[in-house]
Amino acid sequence: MAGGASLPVPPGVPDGVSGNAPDGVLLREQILDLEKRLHAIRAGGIDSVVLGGPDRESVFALTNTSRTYRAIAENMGEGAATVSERGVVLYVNLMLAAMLAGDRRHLVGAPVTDMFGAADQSTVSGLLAVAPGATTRAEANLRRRDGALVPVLLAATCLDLEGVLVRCLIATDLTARKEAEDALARGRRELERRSEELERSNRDLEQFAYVASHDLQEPLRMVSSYTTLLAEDLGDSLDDTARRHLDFAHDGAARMQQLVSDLLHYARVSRGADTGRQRVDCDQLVETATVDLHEAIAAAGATVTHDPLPTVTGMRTEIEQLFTNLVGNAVKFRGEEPVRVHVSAARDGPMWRFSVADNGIGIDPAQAETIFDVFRRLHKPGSYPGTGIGLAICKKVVEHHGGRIWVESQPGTGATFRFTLPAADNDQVD
Amino acid sequence: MMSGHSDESQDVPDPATGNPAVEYYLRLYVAGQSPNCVRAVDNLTRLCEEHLPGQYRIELIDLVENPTLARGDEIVAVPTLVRRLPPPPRKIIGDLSQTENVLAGLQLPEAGG
Ligand SMILES: Nc1ncnc2c1ncn2[C@@H]1O[C@H](COP(=O)(O)OP(=O)(O)OP(=O)(O)O)[C@@H](O)[C@H]1O
Ligand SMILES: [Mg+2]
Repeated sequence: MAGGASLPVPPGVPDGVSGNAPDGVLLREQILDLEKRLHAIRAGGIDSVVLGGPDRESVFALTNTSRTYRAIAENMGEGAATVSERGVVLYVNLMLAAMLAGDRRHLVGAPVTDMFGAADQSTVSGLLAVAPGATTRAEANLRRRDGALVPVLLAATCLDLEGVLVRCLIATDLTARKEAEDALARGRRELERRSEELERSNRDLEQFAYVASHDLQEPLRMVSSYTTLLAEDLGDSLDDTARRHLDFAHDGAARMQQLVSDLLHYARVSRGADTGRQRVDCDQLVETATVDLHEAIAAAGATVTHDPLPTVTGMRTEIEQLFTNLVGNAVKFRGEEPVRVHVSAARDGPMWRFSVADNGIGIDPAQAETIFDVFRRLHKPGSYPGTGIGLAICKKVVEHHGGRIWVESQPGTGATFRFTLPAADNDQVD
Repeated sequence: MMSGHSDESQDVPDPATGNPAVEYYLRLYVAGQSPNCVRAVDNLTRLCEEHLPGQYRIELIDLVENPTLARGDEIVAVPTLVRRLPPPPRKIIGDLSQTENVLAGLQLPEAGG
């Protein structure tokens, strides 16, 4: 198997023989003859030569028949190398040299492990242990001459070249992908951090509102009871001014009690786990709300109608509150005409979109957002009863169910409140 | 054919590579990854690790990449090993599988006996 056996110069014999070999003359002639032949090959259009061996003739290709493949390997967009059995780099393509920011002259002939960082040595050795016909893959970092690391995906295959095993290594640059992944991960972490922050501050706020309103109730009840007692105790001995002052104090305490209880009510919406989710028939709920509001409806001479309404998934008491608040508002904020309120629903993807339309005083579109804030009212105290908590509760309920609420209105033309709630069955279309 | 000696001995290890000067500077000419060339690479590496630890540097020259490089050392066949240092230059043709011949060709002290 010793290479070059058929050449006139035997393998392993130094070439410096022309001067001192005993039969130097003969040898010199042979060499000259060989040189002539080589010259002919160089000059002529010869592709292959045939040389006689001990047993048989062999054909040796002179032009590189694999040039096209080499050109592909050379110019491909991925790094490529071939490595000998002992781990010596035999070939490095342009791309891999560029990835390593190195000179091919120094990369070739060096141990393949020189191309990688200390942490990847065992990965690379393992990868290169690939058997003929198989492919192994691993991620590793190329180490450039300046010490910088380049993340790559490595694929190793093993070629059997007439008994000599050569490993082919393909390196795909993962820098761009890694950077994109890192940016994505950073963005996601930031988003998570912010939404966590927001959630926490929301929770804190609710907790505060709950505790404050809850703890304020008792002292307020005392103020109001004792002003009542005081008025009774003093009886006729109070002059008009003192009585008026006492009345103010009593009214203030009562109003504050109302505010505190509204706030407590608001804070209670969607507190705790969503254990109570169930199928809720909205036809029934609107009927119930109408019954609850029957006094106000009767007083206003209002007509409340509704289309057949669908079944949604949610918290029954919260949704009932939603309808009661909206229908209640529709009846309360009435104009000159006899009040007419109509509730309807339309399918909107996985949600149902409800509408509560009235023919009342309407709302300035500039206030369309702010009316959903806690204690936000558009009228002087006394012109309409209430504290301004109703729509804030509606918004909280709808958002707690993953929906959205908004109003479409112009002053004097009535208002239509719309909101979405998740359908009980996505296939159900009434 | 041997007239280029003075020329060649100037070619000491490339200072640009930052490699420290070594006693044995060996240049192996190959052409692509033919079986004999690949064998020559591994045989030479093994031999140097065993007999010249820390004292050698191997430069691998692929003539397929750059055929004109063959001119400097007047290479007519591959694989050919050229001992650039220490002078004088010596050449060994073949896959370097015959260790004794290679050691003799490189005139290593170990093989001198
Ligand atoms: N249907 C409507 N037509 C006109 N304006 C409305 C209507 N619904 C709400 N508004 C306006 O939005 C404000 C906020 O409504 P919200 O229900 O939160 O408070 P409120 O009804 O005044 O008080 P509460 O609901 O606490 O009894 C109301 O004060 C009113 O100005
Ligand atoms: Mg209201």
